[in-house]
Amino acid sequence: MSGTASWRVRGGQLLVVSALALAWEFAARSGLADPDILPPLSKVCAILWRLLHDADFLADIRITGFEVLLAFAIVVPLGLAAGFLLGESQRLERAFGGPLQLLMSVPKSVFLPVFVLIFGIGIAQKVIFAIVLAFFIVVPTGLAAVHSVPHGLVVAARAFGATRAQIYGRIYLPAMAPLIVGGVRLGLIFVVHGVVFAEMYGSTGGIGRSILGWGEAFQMDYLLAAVLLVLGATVALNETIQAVETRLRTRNGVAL
Amino acid sequence: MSQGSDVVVARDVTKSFATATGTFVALDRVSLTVPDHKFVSIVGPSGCGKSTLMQIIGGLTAATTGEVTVDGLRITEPRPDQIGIVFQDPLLLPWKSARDNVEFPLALRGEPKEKRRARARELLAMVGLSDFADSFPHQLSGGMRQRAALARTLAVDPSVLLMDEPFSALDAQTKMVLQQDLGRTLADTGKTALFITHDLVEAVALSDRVLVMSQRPGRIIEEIVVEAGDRDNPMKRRQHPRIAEYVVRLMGLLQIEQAAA
Repeated sequence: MSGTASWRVRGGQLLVVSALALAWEFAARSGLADPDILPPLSKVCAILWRLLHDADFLADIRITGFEVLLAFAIVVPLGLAAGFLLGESQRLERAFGGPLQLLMSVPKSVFLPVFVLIFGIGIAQKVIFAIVLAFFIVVPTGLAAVHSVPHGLVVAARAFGATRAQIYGRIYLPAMAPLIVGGVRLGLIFVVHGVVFAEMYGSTGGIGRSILGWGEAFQMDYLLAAVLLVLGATVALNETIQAVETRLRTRNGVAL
Repeated sequence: MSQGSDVVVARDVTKSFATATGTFVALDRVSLTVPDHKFVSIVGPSGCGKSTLMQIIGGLTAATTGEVTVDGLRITEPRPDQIGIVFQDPLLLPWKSARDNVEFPLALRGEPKEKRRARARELLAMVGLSDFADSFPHQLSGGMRQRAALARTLAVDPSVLLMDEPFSALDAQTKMVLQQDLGRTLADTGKTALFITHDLVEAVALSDRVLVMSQRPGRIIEEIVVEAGDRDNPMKRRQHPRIAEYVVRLMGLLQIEQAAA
């Protein structure tokens, strides 16, 4: 039954996306929208295809991809570990919980000029900015993951003679898995956001810089092609990780 | 009963906590003994420290003063080989099947897989869950979950079972069926049991002795020896003419009528 329902939902989603694509194409071709601002989707797709065979653009993709991977590989373990330590120690949480909340609410982008002054406009600046941006998103997820471990399961494991290492490995880890994967997902989204944003602000390469350049040159077809690419890649990654997360969540259910 | 046959011995166990308003005494010099192969229940008003006492005997919490010994050994930490605990909630691992949950205590001590499998099969059959070995906790009913939890506790074959209101979350009929199973299982395996409950009929139906605890700070105020036979058949014992008499006596000790008036 849920299978049919989910198919219906998927069908609906596909319908909405198709309708939007058709409306875009129609608006641009009929003159409803200014084709300089909104070029037809078919043209944008053709340009995207061409870009994917363009050596310069592929180099940009490689730069952005490398920055995203590097920032992701650093910030997700770092953020989850920090969240875990905060969650495990009441004293640490009391000391750092407040400041963390405060830092979370600060818009990190206003510090970008400072980052550029300190780290220049190379890869380091973009990676570090993305790490800072994502860190304050991943830490609370790690904290929530620790808090999601049912206390009763830990007590029961102790009663069965579990060592501390066994409690972490056999109770904490599986119980925290859905939120850990959630942290991975949020980390990835915010790392992409941070890298592309920093590239647009000041960079010598990367997709963000290309997007900015096409925007300034009023090449909307190229700009939209790059946007479609980033959009498609992010949505695909997000959906994949989300699927894992949902599976883990269903598996863990409620502690009974 | 002679001192030598007492398996569980608690001597002057006191548990107090420091709070903002002063010292909170949960248990006040509680002493009790559970002789070998006997089933002893503790009844008392809610908040009297029954669960705290259970945790101390199980080695999960330290007593402030006093001591607990099981088989003559002082309890300072959980001793899964000697003491098995069944909690009020089944506390099964939701990501493991019933079989893997039963195997869990064996897996913790690194038992080989074939041995674990064989033991789990035996135990699941004993609690009537053979057909549900591959089911996950959320696919089982409340009674089935508690059966699986009992099987898990029995997996390492502890000589003493501590049970903290294990049937309190179940409906009346399921409860009676599980009481019957427990009565049989304990008679068959010859285990010593300490059982906490607020259900007076349950206490009388299952126990050799019933200990009555007072309001907080909890103390043991009376010990009743149940002489109605059929300890291995709680359903039959429920119909014994003396049951009502014991329950009325417990009601009096717990001042239930006064509380209702």
